[in-house]
Amino acid sequence: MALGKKTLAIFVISIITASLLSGVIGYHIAPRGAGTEEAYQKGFADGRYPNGTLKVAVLGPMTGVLASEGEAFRMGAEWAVEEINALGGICGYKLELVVGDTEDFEPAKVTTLIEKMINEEKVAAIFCGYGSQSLVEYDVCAKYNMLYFIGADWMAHQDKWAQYPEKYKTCFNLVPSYMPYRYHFPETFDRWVREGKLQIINKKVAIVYSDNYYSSWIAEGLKENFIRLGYNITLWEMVPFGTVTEWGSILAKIRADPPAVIINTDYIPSNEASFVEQFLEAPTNSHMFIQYGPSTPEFVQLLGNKCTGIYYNNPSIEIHTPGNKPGNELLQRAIKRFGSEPPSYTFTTYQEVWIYKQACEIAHEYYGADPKKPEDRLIIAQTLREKTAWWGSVGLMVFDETNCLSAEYAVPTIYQLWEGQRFCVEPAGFANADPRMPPWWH
Amino acid sequence: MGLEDLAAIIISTLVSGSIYTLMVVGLALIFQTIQYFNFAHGSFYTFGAYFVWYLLYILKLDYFTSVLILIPASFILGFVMQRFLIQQLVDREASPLVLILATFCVGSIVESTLLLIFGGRLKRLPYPIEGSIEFMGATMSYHKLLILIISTSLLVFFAYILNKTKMGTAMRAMAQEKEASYLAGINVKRMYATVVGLSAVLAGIGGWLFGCMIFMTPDFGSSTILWEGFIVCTLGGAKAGMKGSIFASYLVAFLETVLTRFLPMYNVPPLIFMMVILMLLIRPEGILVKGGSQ
Amino acid sequence: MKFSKFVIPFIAVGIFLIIPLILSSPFILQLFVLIFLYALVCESWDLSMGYLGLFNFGHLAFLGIGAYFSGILSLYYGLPSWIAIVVGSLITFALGFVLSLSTLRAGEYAFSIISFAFQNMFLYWVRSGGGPAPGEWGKKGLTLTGGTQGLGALIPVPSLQLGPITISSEFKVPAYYFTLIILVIATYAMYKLTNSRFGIATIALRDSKEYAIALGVNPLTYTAVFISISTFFAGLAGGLYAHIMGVVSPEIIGWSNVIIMCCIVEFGGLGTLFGPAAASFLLVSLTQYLAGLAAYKNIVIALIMLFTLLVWPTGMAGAAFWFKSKYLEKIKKAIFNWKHS
Repeated sequence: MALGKKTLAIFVISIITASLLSGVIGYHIAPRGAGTEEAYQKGFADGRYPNGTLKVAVLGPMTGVLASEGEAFRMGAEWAVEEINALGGICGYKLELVVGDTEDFEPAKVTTLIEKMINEEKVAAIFCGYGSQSLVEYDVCAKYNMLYFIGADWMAHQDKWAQYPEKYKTCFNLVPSYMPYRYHFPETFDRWVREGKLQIINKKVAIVYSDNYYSSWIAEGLKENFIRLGYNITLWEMVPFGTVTEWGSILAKIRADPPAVIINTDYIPSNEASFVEQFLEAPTNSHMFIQYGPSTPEFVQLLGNKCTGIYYNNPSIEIHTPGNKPGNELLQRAIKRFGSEPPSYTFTTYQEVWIYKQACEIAHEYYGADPKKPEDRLIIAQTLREKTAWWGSVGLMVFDETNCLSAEYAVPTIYQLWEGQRFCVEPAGFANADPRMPPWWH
Repeated sequence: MGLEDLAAIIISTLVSGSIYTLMVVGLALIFQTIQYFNFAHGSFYTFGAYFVWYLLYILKLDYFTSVLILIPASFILGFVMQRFLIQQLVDREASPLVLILATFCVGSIVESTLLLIFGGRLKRLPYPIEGSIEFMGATMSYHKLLILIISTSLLVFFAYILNKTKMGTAMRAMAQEKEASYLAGINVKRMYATVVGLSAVLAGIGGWLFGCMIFMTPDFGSSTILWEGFIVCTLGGAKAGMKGSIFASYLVAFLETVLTRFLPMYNVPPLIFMMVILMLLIRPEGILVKGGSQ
Repeated sequence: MKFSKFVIPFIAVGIFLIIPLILSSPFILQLFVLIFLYALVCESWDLSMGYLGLFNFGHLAFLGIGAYFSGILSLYYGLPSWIAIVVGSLITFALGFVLSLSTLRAGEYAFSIISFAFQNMFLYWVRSGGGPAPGEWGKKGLTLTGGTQGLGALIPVPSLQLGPITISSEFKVPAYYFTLIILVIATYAMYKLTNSRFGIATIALRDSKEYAIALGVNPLTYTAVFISISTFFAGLAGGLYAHIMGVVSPEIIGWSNVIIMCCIVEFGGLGTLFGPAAASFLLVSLTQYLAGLAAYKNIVIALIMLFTLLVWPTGMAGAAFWFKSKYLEKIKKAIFNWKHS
């Protein structure tokens, strides 16, 4: 046994130094949020929570490749919990937030984590931005009638509901139908062309997508609809799921046969950003549609003027849409609290918690339901479906019969980025600009 | 296939090749002298990127100074890791598995610390030079050209050190005969630490350059860079050393560029793996990879 | 005395047998199922890494092959689960044999790297979906391996039916006992293997190749069979995982799992069987206990591993032996003296 005393000493010293340093630097860097800490403490001291505490969980990837997303989930849930506690909590309970790390969403880890939350922490509800691609969480939560909220993966959600219609009554998804991702841009773009608002050089379309259900499902839909409208798909290229920094070969194929529209549904913002930059080195006279990246604040911030002219869409209105008063206000309050626009999923978990609060209070008033009692969770779920309505980032948020946001109130919108700003170009009710020809045309 | 395509392929190969070379030379350097794969290499990349980010945006230094300070900082990181942690294992002639695990743990600590300090939100470094130039109908951004220049100069610099300086001769001697080196009065421990320090500098610079091209997350080093570097290094072969790894880098870059031109991009990584397998089966540059029985 | 060697494992198994009667939390029972499965994988990995000294970087590929193939057989081809699991394990046995036989010829370094490349290629294939699923599922749009979503995402992999008992994550207690029993049987089998003439001969190849060859031991075949037995158990663990969890996704053979398992083997002690089992219990429990700390957890685990590697390289098993050799006699004497005083 080699117990290097010197090593041990250096170990200990370096750990202490490192923690001191990181503490100092971390303090240096951490954004100072608007002080709701005082309100929180005050509420507690007032004796405002006669019924004690109610635990709720927020789950997400806190470590690993997707750590930025997990942090966003946590930020949104924390924000909501602080505000709600400052107003007296839910039904006399003070909310206590438990954070769970789903790491890389391996099904065994995720189900174990949820079992822990349900059986050990005894949480009353679970909030997430998104979960595993196969939504195994639904099955675990269904077993215990645990309220589970996410805001993504509409297709996987629909698949599961089609398979087992009555099983997932307590799982709610804060997204409206994703179908507009497939048809809205092709139809609108074609209309712009026919109305003379935009010029095109031919009727070719190049589509790049990545190897996962979300990206390829949307790409297939876009392909289908463009073909239906009389366009030809001249490039249909799948990239492996993961970091892609070198788009040279794909761009070479595009430059050899320039299309009217270039589409990239590889939803990792970093990949889409490098795609755009490398395209701009020798751009073709095409229009560019990037599926997800442009809706994130980082994409616009970090690319700046380079993303001028790019289109993206949303199956409903969003926080940036002009005229979306609730959404715009929410965005302003978020900027005040976090110092800058937080990632999109912050708003998802924030609203999940607030909607849960509303449902609990209505269920309490109408049915005497108690959020802490496991047997009352089905009542709260029923209330969510039948009696809850929330004005939020995507407009009027009401759940439909599959526990997703009702498409009735979801208005698909299309945006164009221009000099670091987002302009809504469709539909007319919300648009504050016309689609413009991209600056890279020559 | 016109002249433009040829130019595009040449440029892509040169650029990718220089990126890989930067990744791989550090690994190969350590592997040749101390005979282990440094699995903390990826985290040194991440460190490089975040260190420059910190100096640039928090301490508000100018770009040139930030990069300049990066060099000694990375060197210290690598030097300390080797001298005070890994050296013990090397002295004990621990098996490569142990060394790999140990360096991986160091890398994990580095990246987790970065996550704690900087948070997970995506960041990016600004390009040192904006814009691009045209070359025979194909374009190359100035940043990529900078990578090419830096990579090549570092290579030349290291070749010079290895071949023409006393320190380099000592390094080469150690790679071949450790006991004799001890007798010759070379401070082996300090040499080893210097080697890892230099490798860390390469990684730090690579991290800086990468941080301009991608959206940084606190683990981009160990999730992408490390494995790519490892694969290319293995292709270069264990015994082939620096020359082998440089050759392998450009070969992989060339194949990737050419294959993605004609095949769907999806199938290229498995093909590269196939090549590694074939190469090992046909021409295994095998040294016994067990510390105990050499 | 042979019996005393197994005192601790016997006590441990005894405790494990009683646990479900005391702790009924489904979370803890599921955690134990994972611990047992991980222990099985790590023990079999130790066969090639610790006993033979060969870095089989691709060991987890066999875990994946066992999981995916047995899952595909029972989900898409309707085989009864236990048959699918057995067939899956036999497939990994055969593949392990072929792989090691063909690559060991080229040397141990080649073996390590090729097994690594093999695992990567399998990961790629699994992520890509591997083509449409057979029969009517393919027409519904399902792929063979489920791609990034995983196998069993929509329709779960059928659970293991043993007569009237269902082994799945629905019913934690049967799953707990079943995996425990399999682990005990497998460990016993591996113990027998390493102590058999065949096993000892193969292990001896590591230290004295020429002597072994002189004794008529064919190094390649012996090593290949030894390795294929280890991959058999990996495939078995995979098959169990698939049918108990119901979903197999590519992350099971991803890098985080590789590193975790590597750490378990190392922490347990290379070259022992009970070490990885104990380490699996300790490390998985520790990870869960620290789970609330997110990034700090990774730092703590990494520090523990570094401590093990630097200061106590023989791992848990080594610590146990050291303790026994140093203190067991003293304790026995003290008890004896106390009894007779």
